[in-house]
Amino acid sequence: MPDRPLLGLLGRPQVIRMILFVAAVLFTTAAAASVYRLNEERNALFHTYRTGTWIIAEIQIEYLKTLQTAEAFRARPEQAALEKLQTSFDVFWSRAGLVNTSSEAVGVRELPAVSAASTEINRALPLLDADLHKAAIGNGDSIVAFIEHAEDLNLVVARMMQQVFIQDPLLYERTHLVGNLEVTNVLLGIALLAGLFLILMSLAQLKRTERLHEQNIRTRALLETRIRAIEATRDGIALVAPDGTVEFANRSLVGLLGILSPEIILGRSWSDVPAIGAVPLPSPENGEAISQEIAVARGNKDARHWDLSITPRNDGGSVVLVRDITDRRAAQRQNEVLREQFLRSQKMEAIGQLAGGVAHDFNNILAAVSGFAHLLREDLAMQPEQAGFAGQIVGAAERGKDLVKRILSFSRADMERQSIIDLHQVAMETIQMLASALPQRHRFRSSIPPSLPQIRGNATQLAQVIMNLVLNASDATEDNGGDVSLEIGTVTIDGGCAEGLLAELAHHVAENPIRVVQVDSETSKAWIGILSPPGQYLRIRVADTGTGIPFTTMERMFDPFFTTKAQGRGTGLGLASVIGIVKSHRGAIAVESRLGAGSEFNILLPVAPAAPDAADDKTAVSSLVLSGIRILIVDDDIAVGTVLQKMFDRFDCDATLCPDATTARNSVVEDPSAFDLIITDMTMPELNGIDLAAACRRAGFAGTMILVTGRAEMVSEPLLRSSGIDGLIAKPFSQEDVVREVRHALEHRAAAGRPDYGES
Amino acid sequence: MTPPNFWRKSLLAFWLTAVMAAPAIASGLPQPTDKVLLDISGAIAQGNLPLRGDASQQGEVVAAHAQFDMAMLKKMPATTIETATPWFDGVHRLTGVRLADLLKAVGASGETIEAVALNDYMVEIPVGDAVSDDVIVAYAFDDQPMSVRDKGPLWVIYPLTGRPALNTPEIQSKMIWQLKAMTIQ
Repeated sequence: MPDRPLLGLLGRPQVIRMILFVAAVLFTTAAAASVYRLNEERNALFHTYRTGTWIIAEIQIEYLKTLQTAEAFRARPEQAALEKLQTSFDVFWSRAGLVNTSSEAVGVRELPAVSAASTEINRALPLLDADLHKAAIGNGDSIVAFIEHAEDLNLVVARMMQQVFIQDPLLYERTHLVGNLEVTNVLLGIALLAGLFLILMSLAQLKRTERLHEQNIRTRALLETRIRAIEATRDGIALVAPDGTVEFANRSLVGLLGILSPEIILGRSWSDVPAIGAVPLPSPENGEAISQEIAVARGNKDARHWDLSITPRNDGGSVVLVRDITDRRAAQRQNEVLREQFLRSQKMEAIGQLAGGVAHDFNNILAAVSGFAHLLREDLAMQPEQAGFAGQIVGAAERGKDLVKRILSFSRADMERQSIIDLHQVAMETIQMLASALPQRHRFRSSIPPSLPQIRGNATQLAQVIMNLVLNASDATEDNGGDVSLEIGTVTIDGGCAEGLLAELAHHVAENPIRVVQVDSETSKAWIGILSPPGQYLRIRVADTGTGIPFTTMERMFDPFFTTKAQGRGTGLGLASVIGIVKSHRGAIAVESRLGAGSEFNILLPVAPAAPDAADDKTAVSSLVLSGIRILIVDDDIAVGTVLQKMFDRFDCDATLCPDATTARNSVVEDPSAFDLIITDMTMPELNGIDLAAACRRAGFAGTMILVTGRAEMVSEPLLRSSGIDGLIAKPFSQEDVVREVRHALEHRAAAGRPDYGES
Repeated sequence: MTPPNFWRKSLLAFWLTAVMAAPAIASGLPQPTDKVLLDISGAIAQGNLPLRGDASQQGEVVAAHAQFDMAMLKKMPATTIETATPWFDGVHRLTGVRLADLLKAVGASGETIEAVALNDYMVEIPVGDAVSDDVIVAYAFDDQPMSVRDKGPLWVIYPLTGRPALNTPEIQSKMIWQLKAMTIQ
């Protein structure tokens, strides 16, 4: 049997309660009926005892009275006696009939013996009446017959009386009464039990109801917590009813949709919901959730990106979740750009190292080429054509030298190092490099006067500034074919700073002082940085006649990673790095742009105070005689070493070439006074130039020492001094460079005397 | 002369009044011509029988005595009551003379009526009941005369059906049948 419906039905409290209730009512009614019947029986008994017995007694009395009057009439047959007899008989007759008719005789009537006697008496009455009638009309014997017949009834009447008094059947009836009482008690008991169970059940029900109530309260509290959580979440949540109307929307959704209150969409069709209503609800048949990204334009602001997911509920409705992922996406993109930037800088570093290495080797080669070409040119002085060829080689080597220098400028490790530089030179080098990068070079013009005041700065960084600005300007003119110009000049700033900027600076001293102003609908200006003190400044001006910069872009264009260029073309770091560089040079930037007319970037850099330059000494011509000087040339690159050796040979020097630094050191240690001059290459296996120099000084070498290196900027002045090195020759070198530096170093050494390294 | 006695004086005065009023009274109540069915005696002012007793000789109270046959009763205003009783089934019409009218006709002045049946059964009926409860002395049952065998010929009937308050064993015991005489006290 799969299920048992009856038991299931009985298991339900309301059914049991109903059954108990019906039972209680039925049994109570039955008990009441029983009590009623008991009362009736009691009344019947009462009648039987009281009124019934009286009626029977009266019958006997009237019977005896009738007999008596009949005897009196027989003794004296007179009219008066006859009338008395007739009246007495009539009364007896009327009494005899009462047994069967009167309600007072109900009880006794039911006694069989009484009933039988009554029947016998009533049957005898007409016979007696006939006898009496005969007697009345003068038949004297008739009265005797009447009396005889009447006396026949004596036993019947007596038995009736006797039965009434004994009332055995009534005793039996009383047992019946007790039985009825018992039944009544049982019925009442059952009704009581049913009522009791009903009460118990009601109590149990009450308890369960209370429990349910508490449970309900807890459930409601839990629900409220959930609703509060739903309201608190930043994600927009909506519930859509099976008929497609919106039945719930939390506050975040209201905020996301930009509507005033949830009531605006509640009860409306899903397709009426702004922005997200266009996405169709999932059909209930396939029951698969929808998850998609949508872009929502909001007024003139940037579009927001939302992640919209619609999950079908099992009742046919849907749960809608809207999450604003704009910021996350922006952060993701920023992360990607940063990673790209990091990879690029790593790549740049690797390329720089590679370039440095290559440049080093290349310098050695160029040094050799240049050196030997110089020698050739001198030796072929008599043959002008050949000397010309040698001169071509020297020229080519010089160009190679420039190239290597430029490459090296991008692989320098110390990008931040600042020194006194000539911006003209930096600008010219940059323009040369730009020439190949500019797509429309014929539209680029520059005006850079050759004699500019020197500034303190980092040539590489300033080159980067110029390059960034010019490339940006070039991009701005790409569409409309405008011109780009680069001018460098001197201006005198008389103090203060851009309008309104000073007040702002009072609050934001430590931060980037940036002020962007919209002059009119088409013109915007920006000032970055503050100039102090007043005085002379170099101005780098990059101007274009391009599309111009909108105010909204102007506001953000110096932010890192902000770019208007296509993906992959701009990193968004160009102008940001310009700010950083200009700030580190204590400079300022002023931008002015007009839509459709073009933009102008002005970089102002403080001019370095004029100071006597050590380079001036180097330019002084020395006429020191070099012949006879004992020179030790240490260079692992035989070609370079040989060039030097050959050069010194021209001056009748005693030059020894040693390609191995360790051997050279050993020979100096063995005899510190064997050489007057040691010229050593910087980069060598096992022992570098600095260490070799230091070792020689420790061994007691008192002569002059010169370091040859392709990376002159890597060697600092103090390092040279502490190693006891007197001069520096940058590779690639010309014979003039070498001779000038050697003479200078020798004189320097001679002038300094030998306080530290003097022979004992 | 015996010394004057208060009671004796009073009774004498009563007797004198009764004797003097007798001719006038006797003329108001006719004589029965048929068999006498009801005999009323006691404290009544009018009768239709010669006064009994001899007051001057025996000093007894002499009262008026009235006798009624069926014709006399039927001459009086008839009243019909429809009622049930313990002695027959259902409701039946009982026609007769209002007990109050009867008492008035005999000039009754007592408070209690001693009613006697043919078998000398006797009950007391308050005069008040006769007035307030519209009790009748019935002589017809469903418009038929009642024989002695059928509890007739006269039957005191209270209107039990119309007034449930009267339907008590005490009242039922006063509904005497086979009535033959009443004594007013």
